[in-house]
Amino acid sequence: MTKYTILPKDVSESDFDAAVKEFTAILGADKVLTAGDKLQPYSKIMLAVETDKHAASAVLLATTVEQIQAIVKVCNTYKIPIWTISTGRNFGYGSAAPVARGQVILDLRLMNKIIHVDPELCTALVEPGVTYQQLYDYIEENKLPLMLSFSAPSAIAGPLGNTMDRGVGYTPYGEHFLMQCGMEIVLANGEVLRTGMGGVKGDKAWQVFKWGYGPTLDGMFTQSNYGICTKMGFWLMPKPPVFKPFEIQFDEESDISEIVEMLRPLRIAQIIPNSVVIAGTLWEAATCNTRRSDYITTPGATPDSVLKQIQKDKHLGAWNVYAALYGTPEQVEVNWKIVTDVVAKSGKGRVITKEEAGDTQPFKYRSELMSGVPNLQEFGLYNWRGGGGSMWFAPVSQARGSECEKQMAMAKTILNKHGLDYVGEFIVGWRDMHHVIDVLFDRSSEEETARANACFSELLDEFEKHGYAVYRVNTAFQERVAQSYGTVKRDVERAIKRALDPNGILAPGKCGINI
Amino acid sequence: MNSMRREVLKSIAAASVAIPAAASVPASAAGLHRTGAAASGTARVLPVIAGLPLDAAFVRGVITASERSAATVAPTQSIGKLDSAAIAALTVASDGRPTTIVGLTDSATAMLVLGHMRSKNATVVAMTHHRLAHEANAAAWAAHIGELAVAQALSPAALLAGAADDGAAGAAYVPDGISYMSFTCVI
Repeated sequence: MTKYTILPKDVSESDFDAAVKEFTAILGADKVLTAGDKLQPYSKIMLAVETDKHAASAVLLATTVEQIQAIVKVCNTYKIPIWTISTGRNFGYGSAAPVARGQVILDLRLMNKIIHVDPELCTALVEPGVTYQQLYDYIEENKLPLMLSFSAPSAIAGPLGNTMDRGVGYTPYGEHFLMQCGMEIVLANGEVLRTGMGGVKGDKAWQVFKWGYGPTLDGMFTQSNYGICTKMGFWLMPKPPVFKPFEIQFDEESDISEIVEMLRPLRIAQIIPNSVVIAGTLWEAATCNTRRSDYITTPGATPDSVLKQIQKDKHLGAWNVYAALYGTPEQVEVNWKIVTDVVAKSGKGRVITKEEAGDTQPFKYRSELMSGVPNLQEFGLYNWRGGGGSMWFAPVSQARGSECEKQMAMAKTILNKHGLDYVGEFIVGWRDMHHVIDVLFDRSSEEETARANACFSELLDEFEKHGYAVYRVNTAFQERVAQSYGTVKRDVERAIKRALDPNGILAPGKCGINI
Repeated sequence: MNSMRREVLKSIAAASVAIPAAASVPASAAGLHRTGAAASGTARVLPVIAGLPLDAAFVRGVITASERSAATVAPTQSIGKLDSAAIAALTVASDGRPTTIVGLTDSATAMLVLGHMRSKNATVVAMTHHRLAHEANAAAWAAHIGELAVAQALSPAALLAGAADDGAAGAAYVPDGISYMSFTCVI
């Protein structure tokens, strides 16, 4: 019996006592949480596994880099594993909870300074706790001619955490890691590394030149456990004189192949400069407050006939394409003609402009996402089935119609087999597709949770057989997904881990990386 | 929730008696840390709703239980349309004083509120998913959930028993029914 809710793996109570005492000396008593009711909010996960598997033993609230340096030293002394979060709003990927039971959460949300925003060079440097809403408010209050790019949970998530997890957004700057420029990293031994130009004394180019000299290291700190990012620079898009969002609706699920073939050339040529979204009926209906129970209360997958009814009732397409044009009036006019000509020539698809859509949803929130205005509309997905279960399944593919059609059919078949629905969208990168599927289930039902877990496993297995893997995954499946990428990659990752973090104190198990 | 906890909660609900204030039952007896409203003397309860059909019934239950426990009830906060400003306003509404926040909302709203509570260092006392066959006849259920949610914050016995429970509140859990989520936090 221990006085703690749980202990970190292989750490004795006396060692944990000593570590907590030292953490308290570093941070103050109110910044070291060990009581069960204070840890409970950090355990709220949406995954199809037991909550206990991801329960933390303590939470540390750091406010300075120096404190983090001191914390890792204590962790090395007592072999305490720490799991770092910034805002901890990675819902559906694990939220704030650690990858393994007993890890100590290092919560950096109180490090929330916007260190600088340069409106001329269009760059920013922020701490981990800065949210997109905070940055948006700063830009608005200071009337800066800049546009943010963020993922759908925008308002409450933050640029550092999203970028470190290689999240994407919906503007022309939507590939967030591509727009990252300069990191400050606390290493496991307590040293502070600045990537790119950041190590040069007197340098002013940290946020404008990514590569620096020698190996470019930034990438290895993303989706990894090699260091703790305490500052990150990134580029901001200048606000264009004209922003023209539009939607193209397609009536049939089988249209997906033609849609992709039609859009890819426009995307690669940058006629359409932002990440085009191709969202299915259920995605769009759910984000606009449609609940499954509005239509059907029998268990299992929602029949196609019901999907068609929802499509009709909510004035949606089977596929709903969202994109936007950005630039001067002349640029937008030229590109608009190219886009509408391509759609007209295809003989399919209804183009809907902002003027036609007005303030209706989902056009409104999609338009906001593409113009850097935060909102929380997409959380409506969690009301489709209710019950608090969500796991993102996000396989990558080439931006080819045949690939998307194949992936969509495979995913729908597997989900329906397990009594769950295909709630998915494709995000068209420059040449790739992020196929994002929200595996939604009722986590209050043990039976449905078990089904969702089996479904997710089967999705990973079957997609892998066809040469597909996900680009990101929730904490319950990170070890499994690491296996998809091969043993050589894993060996290299482990060698780096052992070199940089010989005691394995930083987020052991994250992305399947251990010492 | 396991059956034992459910039975304890049912007995509390069925007895429909005034639930003792936290001060009268040592928190340590239940192995709980009580740092919020109940520990501070006069408790303050803030009901949260999300523009759903059972809002009024839930708030009625919250008021009933609060009066029973001599707690004050702050103006109800409605968080409709997944509005981040309304969620952030919960902190303002708590007015810097220890406040018990009790809600009966949809899953998405609850998720956002609980995320916000974590960011404000609040204590999440309980959270439960519910499923109803119909909303039409569920007013009594919602009122009872409101009462139980308040009880959880103000009584270790109720908290030990578990989250506000459909069975205890007089409505069966219906798989694939209409989804709600109740929660009790102390900020």
